[in-house]
Amino acid sequence: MRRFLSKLRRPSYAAAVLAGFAYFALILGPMLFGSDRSVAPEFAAIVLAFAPFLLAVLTAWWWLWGGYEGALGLTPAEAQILVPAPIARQDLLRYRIMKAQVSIVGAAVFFGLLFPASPIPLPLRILSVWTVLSVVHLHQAASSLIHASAGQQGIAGWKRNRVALVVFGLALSAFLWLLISAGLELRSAASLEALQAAFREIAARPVAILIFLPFRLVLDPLSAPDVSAWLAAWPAAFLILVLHYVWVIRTDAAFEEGAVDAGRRRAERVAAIRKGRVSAVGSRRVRGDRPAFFPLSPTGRPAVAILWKNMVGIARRAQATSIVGLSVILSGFFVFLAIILESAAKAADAFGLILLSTGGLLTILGPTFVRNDLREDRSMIDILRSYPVSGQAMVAVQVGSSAISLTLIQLGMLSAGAVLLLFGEVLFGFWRWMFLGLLASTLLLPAVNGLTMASQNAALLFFPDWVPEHVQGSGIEGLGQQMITMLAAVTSAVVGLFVPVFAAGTILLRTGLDVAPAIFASCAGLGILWGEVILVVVLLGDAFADLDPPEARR
Amino acid sequence: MIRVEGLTKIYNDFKAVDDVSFEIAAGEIVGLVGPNGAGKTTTLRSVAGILRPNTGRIEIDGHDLEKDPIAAKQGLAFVPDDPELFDYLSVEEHLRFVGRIYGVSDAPERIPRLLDELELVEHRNKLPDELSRGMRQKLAIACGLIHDPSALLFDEPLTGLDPGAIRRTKGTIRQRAEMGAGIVLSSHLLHLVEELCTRIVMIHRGRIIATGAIEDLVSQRPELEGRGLEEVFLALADEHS
Repeated sequence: MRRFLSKLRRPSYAAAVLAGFAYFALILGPMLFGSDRSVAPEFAAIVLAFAPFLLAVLTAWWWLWGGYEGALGLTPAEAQILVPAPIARQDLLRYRIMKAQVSIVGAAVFFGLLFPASPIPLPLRILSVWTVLSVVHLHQAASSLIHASAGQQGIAGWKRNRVALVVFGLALSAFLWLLISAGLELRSAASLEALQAAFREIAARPVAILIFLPFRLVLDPLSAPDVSAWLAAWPAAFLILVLHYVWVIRTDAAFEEGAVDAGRRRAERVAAIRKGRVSAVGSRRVRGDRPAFFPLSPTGRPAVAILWKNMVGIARRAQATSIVGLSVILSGFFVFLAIILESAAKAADAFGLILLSTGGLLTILGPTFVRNDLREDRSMIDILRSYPVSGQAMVAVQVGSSAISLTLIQLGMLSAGAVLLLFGEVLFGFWRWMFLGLLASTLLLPAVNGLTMASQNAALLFFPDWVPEHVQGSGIEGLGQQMITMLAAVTSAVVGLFVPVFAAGTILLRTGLDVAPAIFASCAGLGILWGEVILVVVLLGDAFADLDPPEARR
Repeated sequence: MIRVEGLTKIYNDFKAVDDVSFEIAAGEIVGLVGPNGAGKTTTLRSVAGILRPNTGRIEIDGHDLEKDPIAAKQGLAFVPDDPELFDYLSVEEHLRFVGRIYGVSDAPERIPRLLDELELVEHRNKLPDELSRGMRQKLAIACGLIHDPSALLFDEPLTGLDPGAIRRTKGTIRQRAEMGAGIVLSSHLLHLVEELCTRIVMIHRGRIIATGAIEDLVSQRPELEGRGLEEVFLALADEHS
């Protein structure tokens, strides 16, 4: 908290925090204090209905693949001081559990506020959420300790925890059997109503009730209809919490090695975030043994090498698996729309419209997420400045990299959307208009994206503190920074488009609306827009050449 | 090869480098030594064209770094103390990338030789975060050597290297000097400086306090006769504190 307050003295940080709070107030304010709160209880009911299932899946995941570092990671300083110190292992565990309580209590208050329409008072809501989160944390810690025990003591470690393992084994077997049998029944459901009915029937089976009972007991206080029901439900949840605490403290596992390792890796991730090395932050590993998607000849313009590097970077991160995954999700969504709307043509219209609007919206949102430019090379500015490449060429290719990437993503979405609309009901046969629209987008989008990306890179060079260091914002200030970044993108696009649109409009007013004048006006507007992009890049290039790198780094 | 005249760099009110001048000829290895915060790295980063000096003039291969930065940087390589590498480029791709930046037409032939020289062949497809600190340092050195620069700036080049790699890297530095490169080597490892360098530039609080061959520095102080660079360094640093 002291660090947070001291950081607030920096104007950029304070503004980001304010923007973050403003965003929360705009989103959460109406939910918490607005007159129409009818949506929230329904949403909360859906969340609570699915929560036992989600908790069960999460628990199974930790037991099967959680490893022995989860939930008990020590920071490098803790590992250096506490592990060699004469402190009992159980005290070290208690310390880690208590430390985790700081964020658990914070999250409990936050999520307690998120259930506005609950009939139980706020303190009891917060207590309910705290119980759930504490049980979840302790369960993860316990599964980590069992993994540690098995990892370090082998068969003896497994034997030591045989009771917990047998219980888990039985629960997992029953859960899998339920999933398989439910899958067979769900497949035979012909309509949406039949599907819902099948879900309800499966959830009412004794095996399902038994498997989900512990999760329901923990979650019941959250859905209590009144205070007396809450008072009846909470003791059972609290008992489960106490049992988990005793289980963790009594588990005899040398967890320190795993905790130190987890802490080290977490510290590396934080350092990577601070240096702006986004790829090191992601959970997926970027692999270097795959060839770059386009070759780089040894001679030619040096700046092309920077473009090559940036495109290799974005291509390596967008792994084939994630593209396939996204395609599967989108196809699933399309099928879902077709079922709901009972028509493939209507689904094509709806989905096409979603793709077109998302593609357009990316002009505003894209610069925050597509960052293969100077923002990603933030930690490498020293090295970039030592290369024999002029400032203007450097900025041109850096801005160009992210503008090209974003344009390709947008054109992909717009093309897919246009094709879908052509197969829909509303715009069937309007292929000429679609083609013209796509052609206009192909000419316009690179220039608009060039302007918005240039504004982001300008912010890095002139106001580095205002530019988020990585895509995933951390905390309220991270969210605020993203808001400010988006605002900058919108402002630069609006300001940049003003003169070209004004010029094209003036031409059209003088010449009248006809095909030839429209083409001439469009070309004039586009020419002015591209002129603006070139001017901004030249000015930024000069700024890059005159830069003192410490100014561009925090 | 490298000429620095009256270099001054000021951060806010702090003079990190104050009127520093020195010259490095072809084939010479010059050691830049000084206590922490003396201004060594600032000097190197200014010569590399990373920092803009407040006053002074820097020439690389006869090209003024301020007036003709592209030509000046073309013949220069800077190897920083903390290897700065791109997360998503493999070892070999780093060399191809830097080769293109400097327009090395025979890069495809040079890359295998460099990988072999710095024992990176089996790591050629690895990304930086798969490499140890020493391997990353070797890759940074390889990137600095790919274009056969006439001026080489090393900031703590042996950090993280194992004894075998230290020996080979020292050999590489000597070999580059024999091939005609002018080399500046900044290090706290005074025995390394003593072993490799033909001349010393000693810097303290941003100013040069001594310069010359080690024997000359010792001969100026009869009381240090027969002592090594470490004693000379400590005596001079003490004198100027």
